[in-house]
Amino acid sequence: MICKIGLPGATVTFPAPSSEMTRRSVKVGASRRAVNGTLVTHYVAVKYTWSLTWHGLTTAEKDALLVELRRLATLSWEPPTGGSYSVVAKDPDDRLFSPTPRWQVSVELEEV
Amino acid sequence: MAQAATATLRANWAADTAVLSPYVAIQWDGVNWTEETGRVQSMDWAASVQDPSSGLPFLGAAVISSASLTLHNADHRFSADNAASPLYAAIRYGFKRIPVRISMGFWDASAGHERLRQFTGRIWKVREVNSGTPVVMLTLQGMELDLGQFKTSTPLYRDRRVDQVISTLLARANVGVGGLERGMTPIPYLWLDDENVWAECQRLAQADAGMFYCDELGVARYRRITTLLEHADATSSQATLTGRAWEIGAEELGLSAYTRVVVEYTAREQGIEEVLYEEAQPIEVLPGGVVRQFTARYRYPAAALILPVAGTDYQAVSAAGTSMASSLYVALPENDRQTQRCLVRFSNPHAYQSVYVYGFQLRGYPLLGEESHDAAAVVPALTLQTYWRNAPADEKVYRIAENDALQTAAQAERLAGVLRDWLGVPRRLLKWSGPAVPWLQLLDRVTIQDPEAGINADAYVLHKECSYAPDATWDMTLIALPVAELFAYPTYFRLGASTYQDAGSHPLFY
Repeated sequence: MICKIGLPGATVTFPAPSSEMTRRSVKVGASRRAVNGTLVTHYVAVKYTWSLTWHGLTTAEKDALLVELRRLATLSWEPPTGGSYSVVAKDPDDRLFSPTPRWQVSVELEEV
Repeated sequence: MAQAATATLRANWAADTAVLSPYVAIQWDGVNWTEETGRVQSMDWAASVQDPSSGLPFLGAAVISSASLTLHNADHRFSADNAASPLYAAIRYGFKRIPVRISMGFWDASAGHERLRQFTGRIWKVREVNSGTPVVMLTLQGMELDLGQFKTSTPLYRDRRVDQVISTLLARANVGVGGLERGMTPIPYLWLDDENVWAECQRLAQADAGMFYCDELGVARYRRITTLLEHADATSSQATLTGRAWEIGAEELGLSAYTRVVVEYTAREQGIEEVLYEEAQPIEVLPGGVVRQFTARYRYPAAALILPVAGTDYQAVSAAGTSMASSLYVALPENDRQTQRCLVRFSNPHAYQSVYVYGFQLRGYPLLGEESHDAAAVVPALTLQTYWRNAPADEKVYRIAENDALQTAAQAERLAGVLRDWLGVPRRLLKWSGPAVPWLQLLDRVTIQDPEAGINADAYVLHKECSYAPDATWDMTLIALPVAELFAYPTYFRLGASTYQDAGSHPLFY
């Protein structure tokens, strides 16, 4: 399976993140208690966040992936499960495993 | 009053959980509306016909509606110095007067987005903050701003109603007119002399015991005082506001009560012919058709002007003193003839000789103010005994003066009577804060209920303010004047509607 991420119109294909990919729904809104006890809730949208980890990347794959994740811009994200989303990437990190150079990259994507 | 709201919109408002639908558009280029909703971090808006000092709709004292928007600006889209911004051409010289519209409502699966306009206005001030998360904070003012910045002079209007004069002034200011209710009393003489249209409309409204303001759609509205007894949205409740609220309360306006109201009016009459303008210096008009013009400001407002006559109103001579009257053209363009000034235009077609104009004057019939008169209204004796604890009738006097539009006893007596009834006892204003009601407008009737506090009253909306941010609920605060005992009678005689009979006819309105 594959995924794509990058600037809108210039996404780059990468292997799908490792077996565990967490997607969370976030309801954007607020609630407030009225004087009669009623909880009034106003929502304006539902957005997703993804927690992703790539294992076993080569150095070249790691570097290419981090180029996209470190962009100071809104990115286009196409997960392996389908769909296309506008996201921002939060604080990507990379970890090296020896002896054969293999990398782990983790990131949180938040839908714009 | 009370925008049309569908059943689904009302149902979504009443639901405990709802999906909001905000929409903000800005007309950057003056032609096309650009949606900026995705950039809005927070927004608020307010409208009021409530006089800030008295707390009541003080008849003609509406406040200019206002709003504020905070927009995300991380990419400096709204930075006036950012040449790479797609808005650079529109904002490089500033943001002032750029139109803005704010709409809000609800979304649901069946009806989709249902929104109502909440504010229409223009950008007044901008503050750009580039530390931390860059934002731009826009301060907006309602379309009253167009009137507040427009000054004009007019010819004399005779026996015109307030709505007729306001309509003319709005057309001059190129401001949309939505619904000017018929004024109560024709005013004998009205005019403007380089005066601010917003202030003049407020004075006219006060003189007619009415209210003038711009609504959510940016349309100017004049509401006469009887609108509260006539208009459907003021005679039937547009929303029932219960304990599903953040706050319900009441405030008694002790300081805004008076035992006696005095309204000063000054009639005007046309005087006998006299000189309205004199030019102290000779005027040289060069040859060859050169135009010499100036604005003549009269000593008195002119009910009628006499066009200048050679030999009577001026002498036109050459440098040698010979008559040049036949060489001089004197024009007072009709479009520039106003009540207190006019444009005077000289031209001299002579090929070689200048014309010197001596003793130029303009005669006419002045409009003179007579001595002022007072129309007074005192609270009933029972009210003095009870609410005022046996105070004398002159215990506290409210006076309205210096309103040129108050010229007749009928106007002054009506205004004094209305204010006596409204100000004679301390009024309790109701305050309700809760989930915003998108269709409510100023002067709508609402029902406010708080059974524990014993509040169950119909009231007129005098003031409303709203706020919204994605991490908060959409809130509205209303200040409303209870309907009870505001007028002496629930209805008054209306031509074409009421029946004149021996007994039980509707009473005359003040």
